[in-house]
Amino acid sequence: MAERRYKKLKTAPYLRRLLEQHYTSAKYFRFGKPLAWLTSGAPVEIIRAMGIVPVYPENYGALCGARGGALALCQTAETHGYSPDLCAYARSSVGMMLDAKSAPLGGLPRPDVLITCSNICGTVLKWYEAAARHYGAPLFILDTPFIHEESGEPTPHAVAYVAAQLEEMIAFLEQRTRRKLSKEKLLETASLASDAVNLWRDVRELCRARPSPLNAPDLFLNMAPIVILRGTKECVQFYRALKEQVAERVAQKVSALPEEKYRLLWDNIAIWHHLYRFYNFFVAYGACFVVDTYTGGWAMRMDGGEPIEALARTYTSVFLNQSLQTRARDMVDLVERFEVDGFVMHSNRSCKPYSVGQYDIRRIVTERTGRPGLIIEADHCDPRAYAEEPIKAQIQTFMEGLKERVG
Amino acid sequence: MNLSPLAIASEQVASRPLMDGMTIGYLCTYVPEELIHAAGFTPIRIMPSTTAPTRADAHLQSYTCCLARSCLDQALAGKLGALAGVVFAHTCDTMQGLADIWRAAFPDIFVDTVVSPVALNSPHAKAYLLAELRRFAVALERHFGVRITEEALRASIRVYNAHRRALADFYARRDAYTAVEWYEVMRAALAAPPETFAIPAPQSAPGNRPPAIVLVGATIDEPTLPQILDDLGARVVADDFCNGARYFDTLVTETGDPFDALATRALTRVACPCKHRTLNARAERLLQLVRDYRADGVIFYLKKFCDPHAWDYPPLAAALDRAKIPHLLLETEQVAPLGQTRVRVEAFLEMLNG
Ligand code: SF4
Ligand code: SF4
Repeated sequence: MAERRYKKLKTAPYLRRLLEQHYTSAKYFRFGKPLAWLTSGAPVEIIRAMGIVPVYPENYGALCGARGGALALCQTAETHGYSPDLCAYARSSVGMMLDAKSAPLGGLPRPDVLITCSNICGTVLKWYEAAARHYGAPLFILDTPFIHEESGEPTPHAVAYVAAQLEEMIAFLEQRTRRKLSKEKLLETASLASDAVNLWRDVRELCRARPSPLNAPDLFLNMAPIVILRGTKECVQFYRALKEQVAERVAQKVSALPEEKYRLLWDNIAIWHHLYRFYNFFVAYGACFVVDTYTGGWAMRMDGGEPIEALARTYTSVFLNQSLQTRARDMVDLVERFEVDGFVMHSNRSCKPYSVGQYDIRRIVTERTGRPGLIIEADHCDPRAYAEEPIKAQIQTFMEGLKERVG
Repeated sequence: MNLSPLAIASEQVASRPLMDGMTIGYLCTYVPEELIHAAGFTPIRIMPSTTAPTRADAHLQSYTCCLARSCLDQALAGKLGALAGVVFAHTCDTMQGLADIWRAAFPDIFVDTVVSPVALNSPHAKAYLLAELRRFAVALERHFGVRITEEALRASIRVYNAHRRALADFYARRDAYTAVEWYEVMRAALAAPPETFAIPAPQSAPGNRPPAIVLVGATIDEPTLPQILDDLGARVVADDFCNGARYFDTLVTETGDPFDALATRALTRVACPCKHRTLNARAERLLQLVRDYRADGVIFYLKKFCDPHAWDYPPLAAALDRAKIPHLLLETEQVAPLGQTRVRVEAFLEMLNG
């Protein structure tokens, strides 16, 4: 991986340790606890509260992407008939199932149960079906109806449906793992999750400062604990340390970049395989990605009230389960609050739910804010879909346009 | 390729109702046509054309399926006439995005999505779908200022049941039709008002065609593959297309609460790969089709960039391998490339005959 051309965070070793611990303890130090594979949008609070150990194949996919192992895994899946047009997280994961020995970290541990939640995409249904066939592990599907409503609110019958399924999921897990869910433990886990989510939201909000204390790759790397460790004390502690450090940068007017000349917004998943190399092109222009739509997906509100209904509402309302109209509105809000000069959208051929509609979102956001948007075609995990020369040329044109506008 | 008299007749039927402003287009058979019909409209399935899309490129990336791109393209080009509305059902990620794109592009017409459940096996799916169908009915009523009476809905259910029975009967007599004729009948059946649609008599006597083939895929939108099968002498004995046998496999109960009956049909009919019933439901059904129709082989006719079907291909192929049933994978964008497809189908049929 290329070196970054901007400041490192002091918490970087802390983060690395935390993630290593997560993977090694899931694999080697589980002390008889059952293991669940979970999608990033699944209600982990329930899993953790039951003492089931969660691992996240999507996070593992990102890790493979960043370490350069994804390509070989994708190719393994392709030789078994999986189309190269399928999501590369899922393809890497299937490749890992078929050939764990050659996968990074020796592959993920075998699941005892599989929980897939439809709130992020249709891919995770098919991916977890494939995992269920491969491992013979029982599969639970949490079906969270997509929100086309202009209000961005789930319909009452959708909330009731998801809440009923959450009860069913608890019964399923109790039966499969012979563990009981205690209500106190659930409340405790939900409150830890909520604390971490709030701290992470604060960290992101601190980037409204000029100059911004963080650049997008910082956000991408530091969102991992909110996904994979949400609901633990370690997660809250980490975000406390991170927030302290970011707040310190803001107080001392320390910029993430050597010099912040332009402020940008990023849309879609990171280009993991060229993380620093890609964002360095922008650093060279003094352009900092001060906010993004991706890592904010996990800064969701944890509603109060009856925990099951609150979880149903929260998990149904995640941003990937929202219409392009709602997502455009959210982006307009970010553009204004973070005072960005323009935005860059990664049209990610792996991730259709995130990418289909981006052309319209760009038009709407530009119409409403007057800020220009650039669309770059690539893939978050498959390096074959990354054509550097045209991308560099596009960035150059865009940045020169911005220079004329902003100065 | 010249259109047969039957094709020309069906094209004419297809284009007639689109012009009167009382037509509502839909993009997926999970859309409850009966409700649209009971509201006083003619539901017409929007299908891809064979013209390469141009206008849709401003809205949809090149890595989306040709079905989504071509349907939107025809609408943007004004080729769908004065549709009063367009209705989607929740299926795949591309359709989900397309529904919102459509709503943004045509703000003056009725655009709605029936968010049908994914987990057909959930004990709570029925109650949810019932409420969602009622929401959709109210949305139609409010937008158009109409009432969907129970009586009208019952009548519409009978109309569509009769339509589906006629198609099932046509399938039973399919040996008298060529593959191209079968394709044309199905295409017309979904693009015509069911009251006026009659299944035409076969136009040309199909020859002696030993290899019996099952076709599997999302939809079949153009006749290249059927034409090749006719030319090479093979029979399509069964299919698993959304605009094929999956359209009429289950009827709606005509007694009791009509909403309940519609929900029950949606949950029990043969599922598409966007939905989940059991892990192996699709493989079991495919093997059943092969057995019931004594098929010699299976052709997967998949659309490039169609994720749900691409995901199901490896497990379905593995199930066929285990049962020693030969199969062929064809993946096309909009129109199957004639020469290349012919060469591959020919080699496959030779193997079956050999
Ligand atoms: S399609 Fe998108 S949301 Fe779904 S698993 Fe892949 S990257 Fe994640
Ligand atoms: S299911 Fe497949 S063919 Fe149908 S709209 Fe989705 S991607 Fe396209």
